[in-house]
Amino acid sequence: MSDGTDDDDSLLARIAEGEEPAYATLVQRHLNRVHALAYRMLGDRGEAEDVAQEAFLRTWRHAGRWTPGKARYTTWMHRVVVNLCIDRRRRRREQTVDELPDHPDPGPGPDAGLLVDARRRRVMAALAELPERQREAVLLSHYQELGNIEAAEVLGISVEAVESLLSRGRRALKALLKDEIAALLEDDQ
Amino acid sequence: MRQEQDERVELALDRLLDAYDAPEPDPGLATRIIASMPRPGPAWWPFGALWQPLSGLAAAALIGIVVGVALPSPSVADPDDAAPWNVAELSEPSL
Repeated sequence: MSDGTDDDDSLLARIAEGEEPAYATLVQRHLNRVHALAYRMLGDRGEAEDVAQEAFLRTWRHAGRWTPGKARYTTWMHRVVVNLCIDRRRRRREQTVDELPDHPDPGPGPDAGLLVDARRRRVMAALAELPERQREAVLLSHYQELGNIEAAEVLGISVEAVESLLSRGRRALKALLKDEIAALLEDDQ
Repeated sequence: MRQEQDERVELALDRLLDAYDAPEPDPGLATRIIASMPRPGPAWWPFGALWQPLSGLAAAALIGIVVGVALPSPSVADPDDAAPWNVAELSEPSL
């Protein structure tokens, strides 16, 4: 029962009964993906950790109402994280411009800044320039590896709308990163 | 030819996107998340977290003390200002 191979629905059922080990297993299983999505949406490691903490707290509170088989936990969790990040971005916009960072947090820590290569920075900057919904679609599809159906459920839109966002987002990225793409293609030849 | 070039560009974009790796979360984050999990109350208290009703009681007591201290005490009021139907009058036996 507690052998670490339980599926998410079983873990949620056990969490609903107050089983802490089941909660720990679920956290360990999904934390990296949850944190990565929040980090890429917010560009700030500390805020990403806050979002991850809040998202798992919501898991704990909602476990009693979870209906097995109705939806995938990962879909629900992605939706929670996306919504929490949107709320944070909205609050940031309401702050004065002086308080806002010009660019996203470039990496894991101050010492790691030297190791962050220019290509990574340019990709971050290009993603940051995309309209919010296009960026979310690209993040869910490319980095979180969600299919279009699942991404549509997370974003609360139709599959066609996801396809359109993805297409426009990638087109915009190709334009923003045209020099880097040309350099990569040249390297290949 | 054009289609082949488009595919190469798409693949190059994917490779570029892969360069944007997210940092690993802080090693202590999982522990903090698990530690911050709300604990259920004791077995004899079946209504969820015990701190909630206790905080309510404490807040009510505090408000009571503040209001009690802030309001003037009726025992120090001037007897001349007392209403004609004061306690002394009411306490006289009726015939």
